[in-house]
Amino acid sequence: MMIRAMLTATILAALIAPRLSGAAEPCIPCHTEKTPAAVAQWQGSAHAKAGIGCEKCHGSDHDKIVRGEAKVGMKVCAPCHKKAYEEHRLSRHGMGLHSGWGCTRGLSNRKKDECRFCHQPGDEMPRSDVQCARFLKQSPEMGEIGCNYCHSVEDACDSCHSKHMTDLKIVRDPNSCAKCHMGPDHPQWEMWQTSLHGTLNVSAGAKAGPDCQTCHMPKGTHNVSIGITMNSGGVPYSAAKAEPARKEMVNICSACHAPAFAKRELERGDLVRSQSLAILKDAEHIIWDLNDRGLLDPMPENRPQHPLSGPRLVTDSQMLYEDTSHIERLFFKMKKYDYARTVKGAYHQNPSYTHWYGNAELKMDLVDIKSEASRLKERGQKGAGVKPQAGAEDELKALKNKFDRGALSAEEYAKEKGKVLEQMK
Amino acid sequence: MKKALSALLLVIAMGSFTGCATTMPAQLPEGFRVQALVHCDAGSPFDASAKGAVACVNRDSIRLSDLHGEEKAAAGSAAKLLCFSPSGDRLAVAIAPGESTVLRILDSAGNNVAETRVDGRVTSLVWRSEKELLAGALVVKKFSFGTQMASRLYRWDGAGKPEITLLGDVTLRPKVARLPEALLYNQMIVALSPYRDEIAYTTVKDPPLFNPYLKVNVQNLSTGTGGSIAEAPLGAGKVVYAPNGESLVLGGLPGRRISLPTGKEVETWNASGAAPALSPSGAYLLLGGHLFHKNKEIATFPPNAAGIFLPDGTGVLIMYKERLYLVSGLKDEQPTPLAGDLERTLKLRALRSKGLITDAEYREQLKKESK
Repeated sequence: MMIRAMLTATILAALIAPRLSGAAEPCIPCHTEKTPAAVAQWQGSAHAKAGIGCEKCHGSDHDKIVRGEAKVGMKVCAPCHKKAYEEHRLSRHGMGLHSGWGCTRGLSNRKKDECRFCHQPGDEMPRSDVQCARFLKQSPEMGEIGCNYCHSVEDACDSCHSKHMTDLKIVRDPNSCAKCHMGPDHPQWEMWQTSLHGTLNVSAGAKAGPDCQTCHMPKGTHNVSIGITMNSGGVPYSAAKAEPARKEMVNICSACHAPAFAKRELERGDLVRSQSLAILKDAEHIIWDLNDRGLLDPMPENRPQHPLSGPRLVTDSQMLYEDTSHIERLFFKMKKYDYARTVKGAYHQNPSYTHWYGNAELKMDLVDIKSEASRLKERGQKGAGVKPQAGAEDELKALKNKFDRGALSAEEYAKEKGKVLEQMK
Repeated sequence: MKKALSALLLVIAMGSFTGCATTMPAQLPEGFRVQALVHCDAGSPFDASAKGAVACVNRDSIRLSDLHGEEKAAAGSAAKLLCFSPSGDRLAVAIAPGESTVLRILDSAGNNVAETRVDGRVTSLVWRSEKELLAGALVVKKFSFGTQMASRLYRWDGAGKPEITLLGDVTLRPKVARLPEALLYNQMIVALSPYRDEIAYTTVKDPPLFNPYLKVNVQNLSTGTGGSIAEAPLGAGKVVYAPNGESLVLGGLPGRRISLPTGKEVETWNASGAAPALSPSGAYLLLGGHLFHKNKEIATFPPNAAGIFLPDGTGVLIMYKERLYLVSGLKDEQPTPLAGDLERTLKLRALRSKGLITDAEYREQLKKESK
């Protein structure tokens, strides 16, 4: 028996050893010295065991690799990991969040090879129509660390998985999500960690307290967007898109909870979301009204142009936090941080994030925005006093702007204009 | 016999003197009278003032005379354009020495009051007030690939440097740039609205695959807003405002009236000409040698005769060949007053020009005001 076991081990060792070294030839001798960690990680990986060597992923053009042009993108992994690749492509992670958001051609100080983020060589059509004004405002260095380190997830498996290790323990740890899903704008990791789910996870283990992967990657799927009913900016999906997603999430929750309970909890989150959205819209309306009246300071036409929308006011997902007026900067914080924290906090069942980091801030933001609007209007009136009879024209301009952006119907517009013209008498 | 021959020669000689009405072929209705006023250079400019003065150019010299043809003053320079100020106290003159134009203001005695030089060829002069002269000009630059033609408006107060507003800029293809001057330069003729707040003018367009044509534009002088409202064939000539300021009469074939600000054609006349003229009330129209009264043709003059109405509407000055004639006997009506509250109307017009109120809203407000 003992002899047989030793014989088997010897035969296996004889079979595996040549495959290991052969798979990585001729890289190993040098790289054991130059990049020992990478070699050691690879040697312990499933890739090494399956005979997948350096060349398979990195190619054989050493100069290209040295120049950083042989990036191991998702297409390199896809032929072997087809299911994971396809699921990923269906998810928000795979929907085009890579950098190069918006054509950089017209911008100064862009890197000349930046086009490849959006275009395949020789292809004029971009791979993605995702645009990001905030990315376009960054320096290349800032864009790389502050944007691409997370948003390269579209085309980089190693955004979550490590580069040479394949141990699934790494990606099944919620900390692997924390790299990106934390901070002021979407602190999902913190809100999970301090929620009942997170605390139970630490104290009683994964079976009692679910983690990110439990709910967002059920059964190991790479489609992390399953069950989500709003876009990444917190705008609710249409019913046609939201209802099937909700069913999926209730189904996921039902692994631990009664479906009715899960449904009720999620619907409570929906209500928090719609209430928060109403507060947000209130503030947005104030800003557009100021813009209609030409009272923003500075007005969009008097500041550096928005990279995607030019001299127009932007309060949607392309809103900037720089080169804006003060009141817009307040709104940015309200929308991007406080609204997101309230809503995501509610869905992650975190009371403090929902209330104090979220809803309370949201409401205080509205106070600040109203106060700033009053100040701007008061200042505008003082300015109008210098220019006699400017009032009616300003009022008509504001009405036209409202009508042009669809805030007034044709009937309402005509009626409001009539009132102004009567006052002109 | 000798006596009879002498009498005949005397009649012929008298007929050639000023005041005789026999040298311009015309068909006139009863009550109209033609009086030859002064000699002038063929095709030269002329104008009549509110104070009964007539200005024209004779033998390369500006002549000021009265409505009887008696010369009162002379200024020793040839002018391409002449225009009396609203009061008639001043005469604006454009002298074109080359690629630039000298603008000069003369007093009623022909003395030089102010002078400036502007780039380009001034194609029209009009006084906005006693203190502001408007001049439409074309600035032309020739290149191998074509000719750049910029349309400019000069606003001059007679003291400082004229203020320049660019109203159009076009690159003409070489073959278009070679068109006769009468076609190419008969544009950018500024017409002033009776409200004196808006101008109308034409600019040439030269699309690569089509024939060149004119765009008829308006611009509010207070707001700087306006735009193109109609099109006309090249050579259509000048535009004139109707006395109520709500329509424009365009030359061309046929002459037509378009409404403002929509640019819709509302009337045409069975006549063509490049220099339509309207009497102060708008009841008389002179177009290509045809005189219309309330849209009915009542008189004809030679088709190449140019004319302008006297500011009081009692007559029309006609230039035929090398002479200026006064046709009198017209019964023009009093022009309708523009507005009860002119200040508010001007404000409403500015709002309409800016697109802040519609034309219907503008008219409704005027209607309410008149009640």
